[in-house]
Amino acid sequence: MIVKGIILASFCSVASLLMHLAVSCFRKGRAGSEPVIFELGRQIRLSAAIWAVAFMVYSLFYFLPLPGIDALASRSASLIPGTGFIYGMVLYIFLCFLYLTFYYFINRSVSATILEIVDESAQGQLSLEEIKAVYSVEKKYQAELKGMLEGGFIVEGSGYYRATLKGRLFAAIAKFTKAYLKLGPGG
Amino acid sequence: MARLFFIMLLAYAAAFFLVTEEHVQRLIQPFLSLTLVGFLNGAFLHYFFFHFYLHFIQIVDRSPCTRILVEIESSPERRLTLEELKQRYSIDAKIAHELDDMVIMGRLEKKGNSYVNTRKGRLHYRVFRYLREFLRLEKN
Repeated sequence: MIVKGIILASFCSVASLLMHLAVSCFRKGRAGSEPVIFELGRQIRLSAAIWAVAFMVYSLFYFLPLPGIDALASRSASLIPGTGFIYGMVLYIFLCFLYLTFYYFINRSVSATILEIVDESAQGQLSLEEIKAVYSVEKKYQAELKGMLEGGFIVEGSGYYRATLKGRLFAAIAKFTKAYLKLGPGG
Repeated sequence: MARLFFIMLLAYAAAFFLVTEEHVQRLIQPFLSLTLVGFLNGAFLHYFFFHFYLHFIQIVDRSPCTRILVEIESSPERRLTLEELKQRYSIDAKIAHELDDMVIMGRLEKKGNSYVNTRKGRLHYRVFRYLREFLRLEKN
């Protein structure tokens, strides 16, 4: 039953991804003048709707007796030695990733830091200029660049910043995704 | 954290060969049937792929690092000085956009020229501060 669940969930997730990419082809994307959050919000709602429908399909297929999938599940479990051990490791890595995304949000979120700055101000309210003065845009820029240098995404030489192979690869993926999903420049 | 990850991975490997399947089944079966375990496992995988995909879109769209990399790669000589970077991508504008988004999401309220935390914003901030202090992370 475990292998059947894995096969069906993988199939439904890949189908959801392809569906989202297909729908994105026909979307208008971000309008130049609208707030940055709007298009991201629309993308999240669209993906959530697609994944929710796919979850219903997954549930239906899981509890329905489907001889083809049952046979494939038992055959894959017996064909690949150590399936249980490998799958346990994959699951462990997935759980670590979930924790890391949460950790990333706590550590790096700009909006959470702004909430903190406003709340800790003497009168509990700040203007844009006061927020910028406390937040220190210069420091934020330096921190981003330092993180990218340490992460091996960029290198610095004679006053210039240049992307490494890893950085170039990531930039190419990001550029393609931004263009395909019509997200605009972002950042 | 990476060290802890690898230690726990070794612990998992050791536990996998020490604990038999019968032991695990005896532990789980009073609460959950094997069918339900399989279903929940698949449901978790389905959720994980969704979470991963959304996180990827969020990083691509909102992360300053991604924007900086794209700006460097899109420049004619594929290299930029700090000043050139600042001209192409202003973190000043990023903060202004972030404030607009937070007003739209109801975490901040704009009163005249000032921004004030809403009740929702204060709640988010308290949870965030508690977790940051619990994890002993420095202020961003």
